[in-house]
Amino acid sequence: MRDDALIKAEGVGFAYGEVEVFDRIDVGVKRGEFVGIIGPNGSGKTTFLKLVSGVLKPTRGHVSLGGVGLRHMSHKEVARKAAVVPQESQVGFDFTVFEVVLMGRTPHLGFLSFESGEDVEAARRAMEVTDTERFADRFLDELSGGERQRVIIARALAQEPEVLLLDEPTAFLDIRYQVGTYDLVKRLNRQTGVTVLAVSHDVNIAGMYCERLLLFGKGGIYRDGRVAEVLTPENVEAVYGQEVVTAEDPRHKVRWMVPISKELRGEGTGDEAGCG
Amino acid sequence: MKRVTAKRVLGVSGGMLVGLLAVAVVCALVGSAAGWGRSGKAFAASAVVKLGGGGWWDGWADGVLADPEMATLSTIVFAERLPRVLLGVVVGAGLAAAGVVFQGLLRNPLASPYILGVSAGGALGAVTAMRLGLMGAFMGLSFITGFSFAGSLLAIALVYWVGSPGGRTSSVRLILAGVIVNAFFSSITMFLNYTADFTQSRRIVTWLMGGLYLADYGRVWQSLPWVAVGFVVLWLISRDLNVLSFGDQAAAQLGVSVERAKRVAFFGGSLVTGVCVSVSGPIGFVGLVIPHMMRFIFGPDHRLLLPSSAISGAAFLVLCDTLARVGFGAAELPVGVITAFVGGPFFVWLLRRAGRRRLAG
Repeated sequence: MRDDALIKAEGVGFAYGEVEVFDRIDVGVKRGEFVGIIGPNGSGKTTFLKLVSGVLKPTRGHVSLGGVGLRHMSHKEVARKAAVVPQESQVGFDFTVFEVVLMGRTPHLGFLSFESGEDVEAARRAMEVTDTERFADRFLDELSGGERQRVIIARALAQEPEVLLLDEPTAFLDIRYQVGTYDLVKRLNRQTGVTVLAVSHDVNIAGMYCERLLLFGKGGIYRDGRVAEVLTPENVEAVYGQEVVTAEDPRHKVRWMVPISKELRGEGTGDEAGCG
Repeated sequence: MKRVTAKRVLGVSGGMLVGLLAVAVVCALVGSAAGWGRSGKAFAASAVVKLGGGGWWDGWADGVLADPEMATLSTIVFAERLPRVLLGVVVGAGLAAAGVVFQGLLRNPLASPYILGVSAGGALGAVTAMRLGLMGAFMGLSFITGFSFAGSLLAIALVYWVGSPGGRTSSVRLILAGVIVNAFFSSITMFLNYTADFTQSRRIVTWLMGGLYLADYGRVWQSLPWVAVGFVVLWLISRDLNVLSFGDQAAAQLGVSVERAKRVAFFGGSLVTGVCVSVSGPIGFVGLVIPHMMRFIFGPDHRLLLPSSAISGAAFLVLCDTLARVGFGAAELPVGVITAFVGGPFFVWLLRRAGRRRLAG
């Protein structure tokens, strides 16, 4: 256990009713780190993120942010430290992009108070870094998925958080926006030192951008370490139950991993139901 | 990059309040056989007397009211018209505010103040009182009003009990609970109406259409404090309602105390609705459509939407009630008939004209 950890989970277990997701997670994330969470469906990646953002309470153990236990913090106190970028955002009414970003100031506003010039300035800065100023007066659902995600990142930055929690932020984006979104987060991480904890379905994207990976398996963390140590075919096959091969392009310094289909290789059982 | 500031909320509300005052005065005077000039004079003179005066105009007012015809006119305006206009203000404001809050709470543009079963409870209470023949009042509170409010409370409690398992308020469950309570209570109301005699049944049907014909100062003072306090409490969570439009979880992650805000919205909106129904029956359309009209004009920020809807809901209902009172000769129509008839076309015009742009900012 690192004592200087900004995010710290100690003996954390969680169950939805009777269904246990994981029984013991011990992990610390240091200030300024860029950490990825990968793992198969149902291994509890998103659940863990919800425990860190305080919208779920662990059934065992405890989580702390900046040395303070989450159980002692209100939603407002948590939101000043950690901002969440979800997979997708739906807004019920026609708020403009500027109004949406300004809502990121919510945890800094007192009871009954309106946004001050300072809050507007924070929102404007957030829109500047994310290059969303030109959408300011448009409605969120008029934007493309990638633009919308940048607005939500701007809203998260307006919170002036110490940690960005990303929950599969590029799940619905095409490859250009996937890279664009992660480039933006990486730049923020490098320039402002904001800590990033990102859940990803895409092991290659996670491998490209993260310094450290948490590979979730059944019941908890299967491996925790540097990308090269964690992202091996053996580990991935053990956790996902899927054969993979890796390849690399030294010229661009990228390494990737692709799944191998038994069906396509001619080792299928002849059972057509395996498709999809 | 226009935004809602305290100054803007106060400015818009102040301007609209002046408009409401003008509407109220005009509507209190309109439709008098004596004509505008004489009614206005009688109104002005008695206003001076009632406000205490203290100048040369005292003599003028006394002189005017010495005329018996003017004194009668003054009585009509103050005893009949004014309470009716005031009740219209209270009920219109209450229903529009509750509509805003329910649409925000349920994230459903089709939500009206009646969607969560409050009006069905209120109706059952009122109809029960009418079937029992309780037509009088007890300590100034009419039995119909008292029973209706009790019925609303019963519906609110039931809907909350069904819609919030384990203390967690779920929008979908609240709507389902509201639909069920509505249907169940309405069936009892229909049964009570069907088995009533003709006079009772006529009275029941008239009440169920909603109207301000029962207005008196008693009902104004019984409803005004509730609606006023309710409005203030609801305004306190208006910023939370903005953030809640991203969903409960995102709102919590932005620092909103989601359960507290939803509970305040549910109980505040329901109580205001219950009070309005108890004094005027279930008047339709105001609570459903006024919030949409104001969103077209000012945008969805609840800090501005709530006061602007309340004030325009008040003006709208007073105007409709005046039309119901004087627009059709001797026969007075239930105001619920007028609200949709007048408001519907206006809403369509606004919908076509505004599209998705805001008309003001």
